[in-house]
Amino acid sequence: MLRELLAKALSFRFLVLAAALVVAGIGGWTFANLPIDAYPDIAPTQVKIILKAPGMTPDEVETRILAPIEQEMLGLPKQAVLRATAKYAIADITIDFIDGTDIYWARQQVSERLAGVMGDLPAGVNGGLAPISTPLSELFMFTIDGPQSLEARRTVLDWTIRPALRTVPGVADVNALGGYVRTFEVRPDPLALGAAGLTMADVKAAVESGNRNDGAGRLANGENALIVRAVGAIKTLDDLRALVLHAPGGRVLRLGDVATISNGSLTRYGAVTADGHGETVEGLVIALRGADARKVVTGVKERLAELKHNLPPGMTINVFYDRSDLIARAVGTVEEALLEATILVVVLLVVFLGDWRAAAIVATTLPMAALICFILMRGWGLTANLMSLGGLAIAIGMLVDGAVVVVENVVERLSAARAEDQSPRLHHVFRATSDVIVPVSAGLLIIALVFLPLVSLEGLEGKLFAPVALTIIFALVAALLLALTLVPVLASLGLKSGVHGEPWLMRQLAPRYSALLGAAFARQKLVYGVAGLGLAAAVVAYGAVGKTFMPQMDEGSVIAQLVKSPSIGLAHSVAGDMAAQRVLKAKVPEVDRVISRVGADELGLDPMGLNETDTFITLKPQSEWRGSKEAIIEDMRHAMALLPGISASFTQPIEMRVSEMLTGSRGDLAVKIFGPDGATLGKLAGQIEGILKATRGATEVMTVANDRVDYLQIDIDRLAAGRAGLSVDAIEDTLRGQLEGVRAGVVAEGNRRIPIVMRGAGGVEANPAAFSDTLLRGADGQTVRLSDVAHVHPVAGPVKIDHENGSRYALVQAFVSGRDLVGYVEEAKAAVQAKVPMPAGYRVVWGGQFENQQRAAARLSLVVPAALLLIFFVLLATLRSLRAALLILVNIPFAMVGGIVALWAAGQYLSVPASVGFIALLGIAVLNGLVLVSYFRQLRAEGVPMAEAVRLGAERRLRPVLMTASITAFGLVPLLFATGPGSEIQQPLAIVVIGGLVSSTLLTLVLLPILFERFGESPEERANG
Amino acid sequence: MADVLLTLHCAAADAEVIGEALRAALQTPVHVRAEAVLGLDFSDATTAERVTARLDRRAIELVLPEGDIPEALGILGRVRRSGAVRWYTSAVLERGRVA
Repeated sequence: MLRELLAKALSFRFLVLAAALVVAGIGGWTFANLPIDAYPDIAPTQVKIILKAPGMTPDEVETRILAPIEQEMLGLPKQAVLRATAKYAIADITIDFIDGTDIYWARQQVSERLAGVMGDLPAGVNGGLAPISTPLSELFMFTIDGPQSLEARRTVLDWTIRPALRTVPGVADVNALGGYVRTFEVRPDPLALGAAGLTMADVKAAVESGNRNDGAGRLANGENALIVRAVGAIKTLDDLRALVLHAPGGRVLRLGDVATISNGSLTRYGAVTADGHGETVEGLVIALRGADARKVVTGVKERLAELKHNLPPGMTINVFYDRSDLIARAVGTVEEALLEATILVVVLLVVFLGDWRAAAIVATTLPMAALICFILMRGWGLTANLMSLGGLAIAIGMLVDGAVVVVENVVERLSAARAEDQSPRLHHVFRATSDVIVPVSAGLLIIALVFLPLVSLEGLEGKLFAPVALTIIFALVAALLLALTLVPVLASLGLKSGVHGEPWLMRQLAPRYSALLGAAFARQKLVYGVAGLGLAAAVVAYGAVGKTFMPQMDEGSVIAQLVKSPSIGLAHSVAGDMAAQRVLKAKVPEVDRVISRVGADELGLDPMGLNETDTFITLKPQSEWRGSKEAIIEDMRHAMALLPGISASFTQPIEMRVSEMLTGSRGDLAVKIFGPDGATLGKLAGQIEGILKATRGATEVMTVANDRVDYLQIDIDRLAAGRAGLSVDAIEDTLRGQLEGVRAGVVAEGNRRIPIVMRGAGGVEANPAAFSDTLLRGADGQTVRLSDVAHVHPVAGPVKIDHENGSRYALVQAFVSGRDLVGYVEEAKAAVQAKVPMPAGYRVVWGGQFENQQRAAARLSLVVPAALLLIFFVLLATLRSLRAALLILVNIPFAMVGGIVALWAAGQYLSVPASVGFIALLGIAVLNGLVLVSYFRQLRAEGVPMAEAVRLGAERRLRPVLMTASITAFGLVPLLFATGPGSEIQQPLAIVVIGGLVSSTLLTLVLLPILFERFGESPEERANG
Repeated sequence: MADVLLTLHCAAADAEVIGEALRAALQTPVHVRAEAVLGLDFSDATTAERVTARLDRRAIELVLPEGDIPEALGILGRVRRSGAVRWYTSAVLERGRVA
């Protein structure tokens, strides 16, 4: 079939050239229009339910909201994990579905079950499904600054900017944070109300029923009809004041007579501060899952530019996070590496082939394979990102292998063609190419096979590395197609017939190699000894190299997560944030902007407590830095240590969200202790926290399991309340009205919807004693104080309650630095097992990044041997010799020697990218072995004696073996020295492959001939040969 | 006059038109056979034939009186062809039909 393809390609050469041009055009267009992001879509199919329960404590949220919802959701089809968190006033439920589940189907399932249970939830609980977003969705953040009040800025954000940005294609929502949400505030005077014989409930009913515009139908008016419109909606504060509450005996009592009516604001659950100057308002653009991030950001920027002219004078939109910067830098890093690698490969081709025409033909494969790869990527639904483009950069050296073999053979054949040979030139090209079809396709098939295990990876590692593997496989398929079509066509048109001399480099290398080989054959025991020592060194190095999941990717921005006392109020928390901002700006000169977000956001996507702050730090350009980013973060850590009552941990925007998405927590390591009793969980969490802190490598270890927040508990005395004519319901409603406020409809102002909120008379929000004296009015008109009908006393309660699959758990999080994660976890695990006995019904689960590493290692230990078996079968089918196939596989451990030693020498950890490097190395080692062994066998078949066949074969195959190895290695050199975002992932891979290629090539060229001579043939074959 | 076997080797594309013309003019059965020729002269080979170095040829055979050869060659000359036609004759020693 491949021969047929080749014959057809050479028969229709100009058609092939035209098709190549068309494919290149389509590939170029595809690349320009390929959805682009910094990272692949790593989110599982996840549906989030966010419910707001104003005023409710975590205990109440757990029993009244989480419990019924969990009961309903557990057992959803295709469900993987159900996580839930109860915090003050917020219920956050996350349902992960198994990979591959359609997100819309999943949302429908959740939505249907949620609708069924919503009726059982307490009144006032509102919310629903969160937008279809992923951890990568937060792609554009800005503050709104200017001389206007926070309320005015928030109004512009809510009613001008947010609606405009939501219409940009790909935008799921715009989260509004900080500032004040304007309300129409009604504060009834309890004494005046009491004198009028009214309750808060009466006022609320009056406001709700006195605020409506409606139609009444049509009236005939002669030949015409009049549409009747009744106007009674509240528009202004005066309308509210004029609202009549009742008119006993013709004495009209207006709302303004018994209540203060003014502009107010909704109770705040969070705030935003910037640069230590004060509060501000923040907008956060959330993209839809699967949206093209670059296009969304472009759309958002265009829309903001349009809006700029309509903003009030002096108001500015200041962007502090723009994902397109990261995309440009991440993709730029890979593109730069690709370009540099291409240049290096072309130079190497010229040096090795000594023929610029041949080099140019081979080099054509690179852009063409990349362009075809882009078409296949689009067809497969892959985006262009750090990982997929990184795959292309990794493959660049391997892409030319097939073309090199074809062109080399064509050059050889054209040189060897005698003048009297009347066969057409095209036939020489055809024969030269068809002679190498099997090794070329088997070689590329082997390399594609070694990458297949990566496609089987699950979880985060699967989502990160499947695009790498797929891109490489696509590029290799494209390279094979080109090697058998375009390359021979170009060779037939471009290569000259006649004798081609050996290039300078080969003239230098060949005699030296010949001497080395001779010496090796003369001292075989020494060669075996050196190889054995190499293997021993690799075993030692493997033990010495730390293991981790992934190197940390530099996203550019830094996030400091601040945690304060759990009972802290908003005002003090904001003051603490600003102090932190001022310290950071004063002590760390590299800091440009500092924007802090405390508490919960408007959509509730990130429901933090008032004691939790995400501080977003943007840095000045790198040219202004004094040292590395690690040093800057260390400076920040020292600066933050100056602040009492604030503990800080450092992460990055995407990293933070990915951790939260995967484990519902932040940190490299998340230890979950499951069990029924909160106090026992807290005790166990405390013990484990202590062990984690004492284990070397821990930078920040934290748990909130033992944190207690202060509550003012009101135990209602049923007898006293009943005697006063007060129901529990009435008391609780009144109390909520005093502090949180009660919604009593909305006022429509153009497109704005301003809530009407009723609150207590004021003055009690900051005065617990006064709150205890809140006046309550019973049904019979009797007025009593709260303390008369309830026991009011302070207690401590949990900050938050976490559930996973319906079970309570306590979480201990740890950040690890300066040490490999696996080593840290193993040490900590052993200590916990020895020192913390688990009571019956309690268990510990170790998760976080560590869990990903363990899962990836387990999966690779299964699928890599399976891939090796497949390679063995391919070798067996190609060589038709069990001995030869086994000999080639023997080459693999020696390839690993250089990889592991290089990793150890570079001080890198054995991570998933490094494992990918070993996988690539495996393929290249097998390919080199195949090139050599198949030629030995060919020579033996031609009747060359064994001793001569191995020496002659090795010398003749020196060039292809050196070429494939050096081109692959040099193709990776740019990744070795790249410094942009993403280079952290590609560096370990490049180190492993380059190091491994050195040992593998050396041993292929020296050890393999010796081994083949000794073990390559059975005694019978040797006797027959 | 003795019968002879006239064998023509022509390009595959010309076989039908040559065969039809000879049959119509000479009123004799014409045998056409596909042949792959590992030839040496590629001057009139197609690109595909140059690639594989195998000439895709048709052998046309017909038995006719020796005296009709000039007429047959004349017909060949008149028929529109894409490539050269090589020919030779061989003696037919005996012939017959067994039913």
